[in-house]
Amino acid sequence: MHRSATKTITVQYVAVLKEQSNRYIEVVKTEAMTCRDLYQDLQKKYQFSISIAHMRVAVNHEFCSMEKQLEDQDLVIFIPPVCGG
Amino acid sequence: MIKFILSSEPIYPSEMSRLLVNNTVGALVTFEGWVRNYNQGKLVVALEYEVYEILAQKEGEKILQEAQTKFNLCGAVACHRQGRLNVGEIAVWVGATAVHRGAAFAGTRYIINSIKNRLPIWKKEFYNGEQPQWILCSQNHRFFSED
Repeated sequence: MHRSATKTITVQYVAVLKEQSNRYIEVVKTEAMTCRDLYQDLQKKYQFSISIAHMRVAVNHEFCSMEKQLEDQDLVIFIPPVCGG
Repeated sequence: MIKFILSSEPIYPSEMSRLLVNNTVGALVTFEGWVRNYNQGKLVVALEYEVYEILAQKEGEKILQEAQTKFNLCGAVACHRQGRLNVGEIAVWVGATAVHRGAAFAGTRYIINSIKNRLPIWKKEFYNGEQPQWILCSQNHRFFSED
């Protein structure tokens, strides 16, 4: 896993991730470089049941790739499989 | 008229259809998704939709614009509920208008399929005597393109 300088990232949790982490929002200090790295850290921390293969992510309210490089002060929302309609 | 709505209140189809009234239109096709009382062998008593509002609104508008361009629609309106819903309520309403019926049917189908596959909305089912459960439609995420 790639590491870089520590960044401050706000993570908002939705749906099943909110229940499994038992929180709605948190500010994390992280060295994770990409969204993928960050999810893997959080999955370890909270035992998220959904594999990264089934997750999507939005950064600052835009869908983006899991490989997106995180910037200091980003807002990250991991998106479990959707189920509208 | 292109309009995407997220609503915490019941959907009234006649109010939705009225948004699409236009004298140049020859066809209106609508779709309603209802809350049914069973899923995967369990009796469902209620649903809760959690919506990532900012992104769902943006993506919903994008879907309607795509449908308008793709099928040359005159208008497209969609409304998705959020919060708790009882059995029998309308969870989602879609209406598309066009000069002729073919485009209206195709447009409505495209919109409801895209809503189900793309909008950041999650469904929790409530049952009699059992723990509620998030429904994970994992197959949906294969439709997303990585950008």
